[in-house]
Amino acid sequence: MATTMTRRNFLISTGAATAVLGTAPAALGQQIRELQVWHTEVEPQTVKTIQDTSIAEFERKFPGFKIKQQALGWGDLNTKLLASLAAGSPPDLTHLNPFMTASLWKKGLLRPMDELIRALGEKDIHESTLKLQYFEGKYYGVTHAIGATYIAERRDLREAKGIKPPETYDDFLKLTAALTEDGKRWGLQMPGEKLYIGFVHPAEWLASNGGSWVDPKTWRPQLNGAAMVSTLEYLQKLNKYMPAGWSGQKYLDSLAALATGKVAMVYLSGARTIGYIERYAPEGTRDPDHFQPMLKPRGPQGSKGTSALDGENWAVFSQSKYPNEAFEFLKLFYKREHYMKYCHTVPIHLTPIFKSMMADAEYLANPRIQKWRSWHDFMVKGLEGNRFLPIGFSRPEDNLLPFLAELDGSGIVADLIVEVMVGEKNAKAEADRAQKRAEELLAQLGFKRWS
Amino acid sequence: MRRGRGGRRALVHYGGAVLLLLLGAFPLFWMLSTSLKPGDEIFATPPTLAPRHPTIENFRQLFRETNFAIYFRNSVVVSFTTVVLTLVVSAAGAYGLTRFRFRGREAVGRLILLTYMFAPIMIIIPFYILMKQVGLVNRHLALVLSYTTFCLPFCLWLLRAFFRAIPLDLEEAALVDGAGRPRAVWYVVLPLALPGIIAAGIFTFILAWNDFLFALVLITSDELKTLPVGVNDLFNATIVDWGMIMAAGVMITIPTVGFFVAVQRYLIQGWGAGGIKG
Amino acid sequence: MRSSASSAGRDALWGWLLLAPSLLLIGGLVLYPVAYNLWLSLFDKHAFLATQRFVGLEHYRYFLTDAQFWSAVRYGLVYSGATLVLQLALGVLAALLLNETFRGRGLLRGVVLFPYLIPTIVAVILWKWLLNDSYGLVNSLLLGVGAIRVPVGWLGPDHIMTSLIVTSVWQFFPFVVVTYLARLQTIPPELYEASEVDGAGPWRRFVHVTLPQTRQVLVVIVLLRSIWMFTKFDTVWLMAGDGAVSRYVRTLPVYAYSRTFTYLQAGMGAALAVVMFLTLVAATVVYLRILRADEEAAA
Repeated sequence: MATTMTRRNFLISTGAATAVLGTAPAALGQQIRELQVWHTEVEPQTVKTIQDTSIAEFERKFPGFKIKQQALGWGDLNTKLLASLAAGSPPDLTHLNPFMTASLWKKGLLRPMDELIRALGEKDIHESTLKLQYFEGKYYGVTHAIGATYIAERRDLREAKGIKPPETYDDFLKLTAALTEDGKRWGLQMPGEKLYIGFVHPAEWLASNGGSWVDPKTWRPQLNGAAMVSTLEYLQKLNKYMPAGWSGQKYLDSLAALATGKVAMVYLSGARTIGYIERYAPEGTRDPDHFQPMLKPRGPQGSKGTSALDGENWAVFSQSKYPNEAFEFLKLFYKREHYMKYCHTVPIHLTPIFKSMMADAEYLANPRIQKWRSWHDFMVKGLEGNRFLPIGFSRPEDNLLPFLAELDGSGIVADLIVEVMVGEKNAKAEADRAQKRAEELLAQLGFKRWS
Repeated sequence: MRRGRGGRRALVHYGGAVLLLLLGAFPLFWMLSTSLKPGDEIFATPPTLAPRHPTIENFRQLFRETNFAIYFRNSVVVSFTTVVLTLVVSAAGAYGLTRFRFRGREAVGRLILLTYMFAPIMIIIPFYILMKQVGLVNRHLALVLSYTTFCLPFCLWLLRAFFRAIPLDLEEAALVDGAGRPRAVWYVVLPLALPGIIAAGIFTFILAWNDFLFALVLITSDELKTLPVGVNDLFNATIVDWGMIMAAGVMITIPTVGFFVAVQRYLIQGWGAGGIKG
Repeated sequence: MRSSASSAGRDALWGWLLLAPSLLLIGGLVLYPVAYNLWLSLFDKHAFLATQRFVGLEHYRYFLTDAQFWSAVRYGLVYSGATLVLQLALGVLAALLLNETFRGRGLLRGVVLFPYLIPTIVAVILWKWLLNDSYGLVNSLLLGVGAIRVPVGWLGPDHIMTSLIVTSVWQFFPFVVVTYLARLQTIPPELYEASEVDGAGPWRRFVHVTLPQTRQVLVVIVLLRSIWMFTKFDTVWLMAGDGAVSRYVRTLPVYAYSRTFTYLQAGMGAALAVVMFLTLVAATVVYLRILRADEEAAA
């Protein structure tokens, strides 16, 4: 508590001084060199833990250096990073989304970190996340933690109806219909944010239905292929069993709806759902018997259902002022005692990248992990069965595409999905329109390789 | 005034008054009520009008777990600095426009009115690039300058009307008595223009306090964020729920509304006399 | 008293000197960006990286056939038109009421301004909570009195524009109230008394005394509010700008912002800003011309 207050006072007075003087804080004390570290874990307890463990030890080992950590909203990361690069003052160390790393690497903006990976134990890092930033024989990133996403369901309701976990789109449609009780409960809710409904989920759908964002060789978009169109038709039917205003609500609203019993399943769920269950679910239902994760179904053209794997990677820019210190900090970040505390700040959502720690008794002894152990096991099993792909990837090789961030930002796919699902427009016609817009976008950005 | 036609007039008056009161105040009351409810009561259906088990936990959480206090302080600093700068610059400009005759005076007046029609969204992109070039991105100074600039047209217009309405004789009497021009201005002109100055100040404060777009684009560090951007980020972040966000809304509204209630007389007075008159 | 030439020269010096800070700020921070915006719209420029390429009027040509552009224009007109009419109606009615004498009027005059004082983000969050389809008060009340059978998705694609309009009208009608009321209060009571003596009822008094007396202030209000609602960014963006429903409220300002900051095409965003500006200038000129003709005809 005391440390937080002091830090807050420091920030307040520095902020005021900055406002008045218009000069950077660093100028106030020339001896101190400041490392800027950006990440996307905004939970206060996570920020505090990083400060008290890795940063504290770093500042002890390297007097004369201070680390300034900045927790950014996940959606803001890309924009803020680009803005800082343009201004010539990017952070020394930052989180990146796997789907944007390639575009930055292509522009020569990233530093390789082979030495760090070897120091951490190349063989101990889980395969699902090890080579995501492996370009032309070198590593350019290391994942901070992984968190699987999946469907979260009211298992008690499904089992009461005697229905098996769904494997195909059809199964899932039937299940959702069965769990919908007119006026009392909807079967499913999806998040309304453009990022999720227009990027994260479409990637999963394409992957689950034998499709992909673009043709691997020509980079021509595949938005009106069979994979997307059959998915759209399925989604249109699914929409009947979702609350009318779902597209105007947020991801967190859907979690609240699951916890309070307004919906039977949520399409996007991670370990954060547990927090909502613990807080808002009626007494006596706050346990894995009632709420369980569920793997996503596959489409008619696909071989297995895929879910997104949440896991930003650390990266160091070529322009970084203190790259060696950045790597030293990372070594401390992943030090067993610090890293375990870090992962425990949001249990299961922050699962360690090390296979050894995932099975470690001390790690598993965390009370929340113990109570919700089946969620942790579910994720491990899913990883072993290769059921996850990083956020926004429709194939593992999508890590090499340099335009995913722009595709996401354009909202072309979000518009498509919403028009078909809620606007009830014709799937093929809308898909053709989206295809045209996507081809136009890629041509405008200079990535047109098809003829 | 007019002799009331008794009951019907009173009905219209008080009926309308109640509707207007509900319209203006009820949503804010609802915000307050939600902010004082515990988590499960917030999601109760049907919702309760007033909290059954009021709690200030939402407020505690807001201050303990987020940087809300920092955002608040930033907004206060930026807004007050803007008000001071705007009043000084616009009072000087308005005085120059009304007390001195020179060629181009009318043209300047009209030009300034024209710039009132530039909406911020139309210049935000080049504005950002400009700020980048002079190295003011992510500094409060950039916000202060941009807010001042946007308030200048209206404040100049307002204060010019006020200064014009003050007869020259009063000032000249003071000058004849031996007072220098600055003293004449300070003791004669400004007090008479006070309602206009306060109105201009309030208008400026509201604009600076409430701005979103410029703060969004120009400020990137969390500890420099002002309230609108900070609260929006909290709203979209994964840690805030409805109770906390309503608490944030209450904390922002109470000082603004309170401040306004204290000086409301001047606003309506100033607004009316200022320039909208026919 | 001021007739000597040197005095006139000194006047000019002082005048310009006192105006200088204002002119510098406006020139540097408004006029220069506007000019730069015009220049930028002729280039293909990445929002953050240094690459840029001259394309001339290519962006403008593109927008002529861009479905999204025309949809943005349509949404913008619907939004600004509806909010203008409603703000005007509500604001004038409220101002007329507040011009009457009754107990509590002073307090009410303050309360009616509340929506205008709070930041847009607070107003938006407030209304998003009221209109939440599962837990919002509006649906609860409507269900309670039987006006609807199932909760209405106020923030979903079907009704998001309506919700946006409601929020915007609530936020900005106080501006109309205050401005109109200020003028109402300066109308000489004798005019009303004379009209009453002639036997005119409240409606005729309104049409024959109030309206003519407030005509000019109404012109200003309509002009300002149209400009501000057509170019409004905050309320629209915060209410729906980044959600799945953004498609249904994508007005020109939102489109311009997203071209720059999400598509990362700054040149195109600049072109859209220029289009917005020209539209407003044209609309203003036409509007004022119609009004002048109208006044001359009446005279």
